[in-house]
Amino acid sequence: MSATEAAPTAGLVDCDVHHLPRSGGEIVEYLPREWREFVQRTDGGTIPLKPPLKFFDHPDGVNWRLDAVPAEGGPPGSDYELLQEQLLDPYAVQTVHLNWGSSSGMPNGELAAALCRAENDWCAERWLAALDDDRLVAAVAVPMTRPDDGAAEIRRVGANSRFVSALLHYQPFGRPLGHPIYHEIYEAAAEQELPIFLHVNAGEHYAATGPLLAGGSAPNYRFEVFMTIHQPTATHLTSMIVHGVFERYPGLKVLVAEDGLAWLPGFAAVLDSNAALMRRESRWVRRRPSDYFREHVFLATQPCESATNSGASLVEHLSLFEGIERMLCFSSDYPHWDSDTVSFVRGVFPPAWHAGLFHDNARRVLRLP
Amino acid sequence: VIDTAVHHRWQSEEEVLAYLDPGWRGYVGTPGSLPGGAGMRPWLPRLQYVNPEGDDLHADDGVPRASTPAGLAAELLEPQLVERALLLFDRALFAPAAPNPFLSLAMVRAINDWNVDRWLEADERLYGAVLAPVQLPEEAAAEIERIGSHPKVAAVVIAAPALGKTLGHPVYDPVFRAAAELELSVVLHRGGDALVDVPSGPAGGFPLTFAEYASVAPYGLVSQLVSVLTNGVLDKYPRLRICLVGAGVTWIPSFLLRFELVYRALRREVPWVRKPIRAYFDEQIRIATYGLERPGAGEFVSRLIDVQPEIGAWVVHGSGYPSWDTVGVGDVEHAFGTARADVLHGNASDWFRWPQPARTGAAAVGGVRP
Repeated sequence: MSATEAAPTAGLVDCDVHHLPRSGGEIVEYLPREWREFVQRTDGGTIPLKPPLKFFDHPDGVNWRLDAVPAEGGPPGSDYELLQEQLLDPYAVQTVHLNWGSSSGMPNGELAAALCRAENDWCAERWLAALDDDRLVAAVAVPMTRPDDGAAEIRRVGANSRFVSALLHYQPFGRPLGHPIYHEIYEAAAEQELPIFLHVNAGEHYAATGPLLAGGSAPNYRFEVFMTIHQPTATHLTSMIVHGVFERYPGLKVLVAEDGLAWLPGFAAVLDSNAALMRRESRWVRRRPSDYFREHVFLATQPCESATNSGASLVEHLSLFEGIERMLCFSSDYPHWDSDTVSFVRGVFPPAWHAGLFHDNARRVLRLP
Repeated sequence: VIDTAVHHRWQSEEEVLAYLDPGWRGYVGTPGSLPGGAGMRPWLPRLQYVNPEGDDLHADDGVPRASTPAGLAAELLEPQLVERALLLFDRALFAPAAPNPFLSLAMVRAINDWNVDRWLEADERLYGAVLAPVQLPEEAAAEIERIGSHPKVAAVVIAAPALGKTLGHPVYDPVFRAAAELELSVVLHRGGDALVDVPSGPAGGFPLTFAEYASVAPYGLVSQLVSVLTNGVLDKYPRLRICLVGAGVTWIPSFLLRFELVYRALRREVPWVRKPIRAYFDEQIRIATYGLERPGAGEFVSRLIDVQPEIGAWVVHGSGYPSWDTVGVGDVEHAFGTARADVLHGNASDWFRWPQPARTGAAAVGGVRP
């Protein structure tokens, strides 16, 4: 192990880490009384508090690092001590971007909005305030069913400086994210200087939203899902460019997590190739589409597409997009099964990119102090 | 030059209706038999997105381009020195996805007969693809056998899965089985996710403009490749050759990188996938130039080929003529540099079921170079 590999990365920002409640009951406590009664079952349990996932589970039936299961019970990501022991301390993480946000895709949109508010309050109180650890920052879970609700929640929660992004994890209208129906969400995010955080697309892996992949309604294997996982995000970013989101809100940025990296150079070339066509249908496309990517879009690195410890072919391909090294932000996706470690990522990317991807780029996208 | 993707079409739908049997002919009706041009039941699936400047290159004389063999020869074959052209249909490509599967089947059979009669017999340079009525896979296999015996049929073409499952799903197996038995290559064409009548669409939701759809359209095709690979179609038929038409080439490197990563993690799901991904590309997958990124993308494709020269061995020229984004021989020469001869000719010369030179003679196929 070389000296650089052993040394901690000063100021490290991890852009994608999941924190969960020990049980749904923790969130229920933060619901207003009428919704508490609504979710409570007569046998003492609750109705499901998360939307159903489309059916492409991991073949082992588990989506977590097995060593991240807390000994005292609860799901991985619910134990702060373990998070410190497995991630924060060994890698000297300075800032960790916590997010969860799955309840925004509940089919009952009013319940979804109540759960998002509860989750944000739970996060603010139980993680950000109670733990007294200023390494922890978090994403606002944004209700999506009524965009005015989403905008209001961004303003309410965004007042807390420890919330540093706005997670859009669901799109209820079957239309990509550039559609004007979403613009008031962007207006609120821009006003609060919060970036939009897309985590595995806009939640297309939940049952109640748009197609997960182009050309077929349901894949047969998780393998297929993982091969096509960037497709909805490509549609959304194209839509945001064509319908003027970045022209209307010039300070707005987007952080994309868990959709891979290698798709971007080729896709941006396709968009540039279609720029004239876009201008024929939209007055908002005023720059080359790839320039909107350079200025507004950031990619979290996990899972970086390097099947070996050498990232030579990935880096060579990414380098076809000028400025890509200013868009990459390290993420571990702890505590998921395919989590990337700092040392692995350090080996994949050239040293000249390290300062950007381990901290500087994250500071340009997240609302960090 | 071998052009593996020509979008030929009829001048009037009546050309095709003439090949329907009397029952279906009466069912579909006759355009103009009612006032205002009415009287025929529309039978081609509609597209959600159309190019605001027209889906095809503009024709000054008002005659649709590529609508007669003689016209195609004068517009494309002669100026671009095309010695073999694979005809892939235009809107007719989507007939297999029409909502009534029985009408769809009857129309597809008529289209295939029209194609053999009007086109394949008309010019030695023209080769055909069986339009596969994939909504009824067993009937599609029978249609491939019926038309595939014609010596100038070189491929099978599929543009719309029609059943809401990507093409690797076992329900489509009879189609691939029939193609493999007849040694016909299978052309997968983009566009099936833009139809209004099929249970699929672009990932993430329906875009609002043609430009957005055009930008993500390659993914509808790449999904089919993912499906065919992961569901083991290429392993079940190890001599089967496929060709993707309309996705361009910029997606290829990221596809390879991602496949290697996902294979490492999830190969347990797909134990029949045994070869390294590059071996599938070498032996069973070609990508046509149609959909090639145009000048707005700068020199991206040339740079891509410099970094990954192996791509030059996987690409065949397909113009897509006369669609709005037709790729010319000059575009290919510009983008592919030293690989241009392979792309324009060599890579396609053994990929489709061209007639054997010994059987037909070079003269009989329009002076194709040996």
